[in-house]
Amino acid sequence: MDNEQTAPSYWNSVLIGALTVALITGGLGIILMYYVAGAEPSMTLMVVSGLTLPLTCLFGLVGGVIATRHYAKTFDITFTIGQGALIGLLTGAVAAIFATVISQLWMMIDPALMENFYENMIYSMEQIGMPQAQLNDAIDNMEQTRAQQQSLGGIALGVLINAIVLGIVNAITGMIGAKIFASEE
Amino acid sequence: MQFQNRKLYISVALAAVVLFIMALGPGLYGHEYASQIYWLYDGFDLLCHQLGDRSYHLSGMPMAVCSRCIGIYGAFMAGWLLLPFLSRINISLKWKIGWLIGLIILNLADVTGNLFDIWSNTLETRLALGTLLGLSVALLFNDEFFSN
Repeated sequence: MDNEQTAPSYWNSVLIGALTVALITGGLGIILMYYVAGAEPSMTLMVVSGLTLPLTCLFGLVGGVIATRHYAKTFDITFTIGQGALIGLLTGAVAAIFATVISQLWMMIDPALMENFYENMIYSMEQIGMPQAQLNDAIDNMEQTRAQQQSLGGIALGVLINAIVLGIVNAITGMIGAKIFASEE
Repeated sequence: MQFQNRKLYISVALAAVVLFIMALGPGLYGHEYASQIYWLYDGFDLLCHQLGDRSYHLSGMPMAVCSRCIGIYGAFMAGWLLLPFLSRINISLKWKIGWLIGLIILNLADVTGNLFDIWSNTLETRLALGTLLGLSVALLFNDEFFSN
């Protein structure tokens, strides 16, 4: 089937894929921050914070698949993997913008969250007996990240770099989605 | 051998190489320049937990992604560049999708088993499982660009 001439717009699918990725990665990230900020500092805290995040990884990757599946099923069409890559690329880039907006809005709603999160993470690292040099490095990294997250230039750079990386990985998953859900095979 | 859809193949190849180099993190550029390109970590913060003890190090600095993720990105890049050769393998789409789903489940099972202390995975086992997953993604496209 040739859909080149009359291909419907894919922007709804891009927005749905991007919003799903941003809400889940942003939402799980915020829930995790509340957990860390509110929990008693301990080894468990470090483990939970480290192992909850892989769940968000998966959702960061599947934006391209969600968008291409939605596009193919909604309009009952087939399309090329090149178009799947484009849909995935746009989904990843838009998701990076949405995720930043969500996290920045939340930081305005609850500015103490970030403070408590970092304090508890540092305290937990001290409690588990991390070597001093490693602890200093980790604290320096956290301070650097935190300073970046609060400056306009840092936020813009964060969006740009996230859009590039999320765009590329979701372009690949967009091709997977096109191959599985929109292929003529 | 015929080579079709060249623009897409080359664009994805370049993107995969760029992604892999970025994923290696600031340590790739040596310790003295690393602090200037610390933002590389930001690029993967929505995609990877980036825990230092679960990542390989370059110049004493953790890569921008964990050992599983570097396996995925590295193997996808290698697999994609090797597609001219992988195109000789004749596997149905159904089997390729089966492999992909199986490896996703295997990786999730590995994360879950480690989480509940059923077993302890290592940098190497995570790298190996990630490598298989990355390769299976590239293999999905082995009949798209090159035909014999």
